[in-house]
Amino acid sequence: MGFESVENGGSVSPENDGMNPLQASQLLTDEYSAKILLATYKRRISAQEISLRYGIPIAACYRKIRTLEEAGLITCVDRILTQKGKRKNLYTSCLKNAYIFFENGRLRARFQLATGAVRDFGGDWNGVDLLKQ
Amino acid sequence: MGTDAMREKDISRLLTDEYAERILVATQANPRSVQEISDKHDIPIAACYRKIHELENAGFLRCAEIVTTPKGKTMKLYRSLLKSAQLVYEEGVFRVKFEFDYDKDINGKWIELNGARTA
Repeated sequence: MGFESVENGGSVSPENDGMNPLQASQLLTDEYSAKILLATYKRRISAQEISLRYGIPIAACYRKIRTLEEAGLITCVDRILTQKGKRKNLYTSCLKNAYIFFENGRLRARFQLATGAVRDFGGDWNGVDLLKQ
Repeated sequence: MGTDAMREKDISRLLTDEYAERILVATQANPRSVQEISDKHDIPIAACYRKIHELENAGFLRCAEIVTTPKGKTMKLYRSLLKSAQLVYEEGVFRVKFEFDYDKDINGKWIELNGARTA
């Protein structure tokens, strides 16, 4: 519906992957994606282990991991060798904070990554006091 | 408490559902009929009815008016009751906050969803 990705500030990464704020926020509110983000928070964990621990079907787990990886919210930090000689990717979350606001009929999303990069979706975040609670 | 957290999680997912979001935006300013929303916002009519009922049950929408069309059919007009919603993820914890147009128990309260610490 015509949402524009707007970048502001100096630390904004150049690409938003053409995601609109709705797609961006779905990365967080999708049940499996949210679980994967929690599973990889300050941890290095394989897809297999996430699938087992969080009850995510393995194929869906791989698919969601791929989506989150492409969006830059998680990253593969290591490829270890299992006892059976198979390679296993270990993932960790790169997402530090995320904010999704719906106000006046508009949806906006902001991701703050561990690298310090900020990605905004859906318009102006200037003057929004995020910490007003 | 667990079921409560799930309920809020379902609600926050409803918010970012593509159709639900369009419906909430469409009904923000003026009451609209299902047919009108479906036409204007390109939502299949059956899905539109289903989502509207889901949103109505969750307290996001209200039937504001019932009008009679020239053909004598009655038509419900819906209006959004959600003023604002915020979903925040910090330090491995998800929290949500909603503000509704009417008195609702969860108005303005931060609700913590399952975080990395408890999951």
